[in-house]
Amino acid sequence: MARKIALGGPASGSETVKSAEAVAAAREEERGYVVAAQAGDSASFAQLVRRHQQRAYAVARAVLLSHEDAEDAVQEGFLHAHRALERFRPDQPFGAWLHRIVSNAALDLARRRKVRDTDELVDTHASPFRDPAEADELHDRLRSALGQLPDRQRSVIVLHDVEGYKHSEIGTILGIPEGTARSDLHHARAAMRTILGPLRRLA
Amino acid sequence: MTTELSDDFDRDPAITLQLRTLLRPPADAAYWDGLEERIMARVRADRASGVRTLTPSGAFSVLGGWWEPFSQWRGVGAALAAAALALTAWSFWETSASDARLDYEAAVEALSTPLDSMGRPLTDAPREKTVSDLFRY
Repeated sequence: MARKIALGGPASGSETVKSAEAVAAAREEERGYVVAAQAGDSASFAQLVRRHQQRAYAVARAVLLSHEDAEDAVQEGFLHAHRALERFRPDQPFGAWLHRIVSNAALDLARRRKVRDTDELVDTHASPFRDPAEADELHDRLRSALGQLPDRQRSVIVLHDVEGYKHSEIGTILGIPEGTARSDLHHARAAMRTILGPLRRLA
Repeated sequence: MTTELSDDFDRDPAITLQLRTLLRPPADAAYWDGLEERIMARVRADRASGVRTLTPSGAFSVLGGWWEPFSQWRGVGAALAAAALALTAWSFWETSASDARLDYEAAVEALSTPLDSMGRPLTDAPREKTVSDLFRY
């Protein structure tokens, strides 16, 4: 929510002040949830989950190609965040810290996927959600093209072009320098153009 | 004047649009409610199991390994390792200094003998003695 407020379109002076106040209030509220969760309050941690799960999913989906894997990485990420919560400093942005954990969980899962010769994860918490992209041939080709990219390039192009993250934010999430994220983006775009060719022919 | 290129100069709008469609998150609110429940169920189960393992900030690692009971000794182990390293460095330095001193003494000793033997006792050498006798007379 805070991000949407912060990244909103051009605003007048009074709207900017209101937005800044809203962001500050949201951060303060989140800080309260973090402190309470650190004290063992499950309901507060659930609030943090509710606030951040969609962005966490986007981060995981940038690394992993399937919806099921992304969901599993999100669950793992929140679980590890909960375990490490005592070490988290509440004055720091919780989202950035969480996204780093989720991206590490997703990268770890991606590595295990490569080691194991399988494309299905036995998920004890199966989701009823079916990925709408699965049946589409064009999306299959896109998914295949994404799969040919190195993990980091794929993550960068999705986080930047799909999710709208800045290079500095991507660097923080993936633990890489901002310049590396920038160059990865252009390499990934070039690779996608080469692999796919003009998308008009696909559509 | 420098011109900074936008990040979008090489972006293909068609590919971006299709990627956004492909990777679109579930729109159903019920899905997110369910995911939240599944996450919290895992958190509660994890808490009930009694496993409370701290990970470094932002780092991801396999948790609950055989080393966990020894984690409280991490500080002591680090101190012992540092002490051992310092002792090793000191003994190495001491050995090096001792070796250098021995080498120096051996070199000086080796040089001293030939230098003494190379001394030319003018008065004792027969040849010089003869020359001095000739000048004397």
